[in-house]
Amino acid sequence: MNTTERERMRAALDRASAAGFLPEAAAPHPGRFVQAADTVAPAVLIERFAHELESLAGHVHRAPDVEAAVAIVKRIADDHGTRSFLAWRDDDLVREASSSLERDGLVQKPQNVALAGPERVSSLAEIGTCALGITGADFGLADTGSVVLGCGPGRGRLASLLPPVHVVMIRLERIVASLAHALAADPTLASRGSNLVVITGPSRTADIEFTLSRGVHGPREIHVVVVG
Amino acid sequence: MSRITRVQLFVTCLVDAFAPRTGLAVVDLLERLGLEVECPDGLTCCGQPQLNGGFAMEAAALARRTVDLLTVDDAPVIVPSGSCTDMIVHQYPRLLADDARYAERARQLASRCYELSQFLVDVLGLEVVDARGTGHVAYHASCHGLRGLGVRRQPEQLLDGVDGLTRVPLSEADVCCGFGGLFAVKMPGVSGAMLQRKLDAIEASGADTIVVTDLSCGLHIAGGLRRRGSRVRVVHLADVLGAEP
Amino acid sequence: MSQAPAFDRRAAAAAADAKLGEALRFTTGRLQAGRAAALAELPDADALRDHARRVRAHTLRHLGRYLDQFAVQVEALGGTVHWATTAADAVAVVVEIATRRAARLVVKSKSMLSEEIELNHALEQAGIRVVETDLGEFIVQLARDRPSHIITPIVHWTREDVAVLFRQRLGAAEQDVADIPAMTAFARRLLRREFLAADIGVSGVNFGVASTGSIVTVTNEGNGRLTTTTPPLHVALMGIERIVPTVDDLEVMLRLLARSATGQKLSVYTNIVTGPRRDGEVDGPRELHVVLVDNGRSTLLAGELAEILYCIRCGACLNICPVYQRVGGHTYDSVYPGPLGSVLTPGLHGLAAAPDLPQASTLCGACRDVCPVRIDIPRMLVALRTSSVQQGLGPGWVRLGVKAHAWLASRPRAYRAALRAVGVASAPLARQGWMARLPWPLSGWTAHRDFPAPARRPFSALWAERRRAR
Repeated sequence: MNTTERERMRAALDRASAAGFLPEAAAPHPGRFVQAADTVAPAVLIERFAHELESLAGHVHRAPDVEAAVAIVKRIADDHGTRSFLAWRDDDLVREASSSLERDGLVQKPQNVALAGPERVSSLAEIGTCALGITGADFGLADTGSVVLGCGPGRGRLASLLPPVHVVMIRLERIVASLAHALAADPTLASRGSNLVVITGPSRTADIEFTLSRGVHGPREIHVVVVG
Repeated sequence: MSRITRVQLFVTCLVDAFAPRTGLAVVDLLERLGLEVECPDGLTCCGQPQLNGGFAMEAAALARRTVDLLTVDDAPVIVPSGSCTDMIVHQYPRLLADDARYAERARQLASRCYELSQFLVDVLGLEVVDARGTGHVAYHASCHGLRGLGVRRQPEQLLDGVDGLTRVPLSEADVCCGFGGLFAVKMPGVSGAMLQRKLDAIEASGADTIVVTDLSCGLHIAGGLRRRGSRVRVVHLADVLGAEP
Repeated sequence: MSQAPAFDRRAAAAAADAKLGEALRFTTGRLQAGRAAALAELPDADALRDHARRVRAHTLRHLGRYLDQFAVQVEALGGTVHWATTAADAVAVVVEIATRRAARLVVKSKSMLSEEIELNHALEQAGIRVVETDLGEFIVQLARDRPSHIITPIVHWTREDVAVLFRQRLGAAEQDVADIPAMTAFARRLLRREFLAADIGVSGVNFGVASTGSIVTVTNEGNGRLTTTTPPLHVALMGIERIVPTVDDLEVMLRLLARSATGQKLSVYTNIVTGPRRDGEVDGPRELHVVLVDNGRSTLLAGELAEILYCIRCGACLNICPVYQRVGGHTYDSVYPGPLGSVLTPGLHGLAAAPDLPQASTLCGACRDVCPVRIDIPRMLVALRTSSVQQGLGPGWVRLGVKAHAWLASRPRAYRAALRAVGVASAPLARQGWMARLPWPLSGWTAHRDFPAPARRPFSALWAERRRAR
């Protein structure tokens, strides 16, 4: 049944394309877009990244090494009176931070969300109590102040989505000029997992009287700890 | 650039009917610049309101007629209207592309047809025209002149060169006045609302005179100003430049 | 006596609403300024737009092939693709999925297509509760209103309006509606419960990527992410034209979309979903359904309005349009308002469904100037108007007037005589060269401005005289 529908639609589309009404006479694919110039020079990637994210009310913290980075994460957790948190398991920077927080007595909740039944309700409820989510990132994007998070085993989506405060731990060399650069460096980035999200600042809306509010559905605060 | 000694003038149907003295001002201006001016007999309307209103047949008939009248002579054609010039330059070739009797002549005409300020600045290469005036003026850009022909800087430059005139900025100068041809009578509520906004900007500008390149905008704005009891006048660019200095 | 068109009557009422006018002016002004600044910041905005347009043109020319590729990818990852020719077909698919799973609650992120096919109503008829999660759409749904802008749906609401609504319909307490942040927080808490309890998440699709089978949703709030993450089943509604060939093409569109829409460099959440939850992943829906919806698009593709399918739904044309700015979205009485809707609505559903929309423009061309993919909307409005005339739509007096003018304009002597006659006849009606009242059908002019009295002697007469004198 669905196949017939598909065949009908495909036939309609083929006929339509053949009618030749599109303005462009021949329409070859233009290939990859070649940028006129680099929007961000390599020497100033981190400065530009920080500038962009801070202009969106995000926070950027520099840490010379992992130890310093963990101390920053602890401070953020402390500032928010965090008792439980959600964190990526499959990221070495994040694991350092998580272990340290657990040693301090904070509770790390499981990321796994069961697919059905009472386990589903309870796993979501548990996750819902977390004040803090800690993740790594595949890339930081300097031209927009974004972080790029691919999901995978041990790298859930919800850690960067449900808790009101999101902490990202990222190494300095993962900050590139733009999304185009990230994709050039890592061509299967977008489709390796079931989800890739490019996060640019904290959640916001201006629907009411064009007045800005943060933390509508996603986190209201984002902290990026840059190591190196 | 070959020296132009003679031009043809298509005053447009609105100038013909509502502001014939503006037509004479264009003639005076061009003659003062040493040009011989000819106005071919029998010109009426370029057909733009008809084309934009969906009356393609009537528009094409007017286009053919206009092409006939303006291609007897191959002198450049000057039009004191951005809309009408845009029609001739961009729409005539398209409209008549499939008519073997007209396609080439329409293209030829399009290549030598200019809006007045465009002609003075871009073709004759004038920086200013010798003219005098008084008071504060603001320039309102016609949409088709602006976006169709790229006319914006030329009228401003010419106005800036008029002795005694002070040009002031008009906020939202690029925003349509709401005339739109048949639109003004087919959608009077919308047209009126857009006009009010333009009039607010005009009153806020501090100008005592608004200068237009298109009489269509001009009559619509002037009618609105008058209805408001405003003292602000509306004149065509040719009225400013064509007056005896 | 014929009245002004329905659009014009609604427009006049909207234009008289000072509060609405202020809101529209403020919002569209900020969005316009944002767009200009954001594009100026790019080193190559013009080249980028040209490139994006070529991608759209190429994609639409080979649309069938790219949809096939997309479907194969989605299915290889364990998703299901449904092909729906009509709105009814699409609705039936979604209702069937929902009832088969005994779903009770559906959360939705922004989807104009879902409004186009009227999905919510059908789900509710089937006993399923539907909750819009975009804050503006949530408010619209609660109030049984309609959105008035494709990006900022409640530009026509004040904070007091929202406060009253929340108190009345949601039992909000005073502190919940004390100010905008409070109202937002209140809505967040309420909607969070819905996200976590929902059986199905229905999203729109900003772009589908053919080479990977990815679906992209772009939001600032995060509801696009939650809708496509917490419920165990995700239904993505996708117009068949919303596709790009590769991830690189997606990146080009993303570089233009937020900048053109609001002036942001990127929206907060650019969410790329590629298939359902994979083995080993910890969250995300296990089931993914993509519904490819035609609903008139293939017919559009075959005709002179095909170019409207290039649209990436940024809303820049609405923000710049001097008509939209004065009358707002509701005046268009269409899922898609503004310049976009003036072509798309009659294009998808026929002129008879929306005869006024193509007339509601002065063809100023500002929309074409700001469109990220340079769609020539004025050209298509003229094409629709030409069809209108061919179909005999529109007021008879205009048609008559155009024919009369055409007859006269090809006969110079009769034309000049007519001009003289009008000049003479109007002289007694004019004061200082102006007439304050014209009879029907030109009374529309004098409702808002005076009409100039034609000159006693037209230019042609003055010119003839001058020539004789030389």
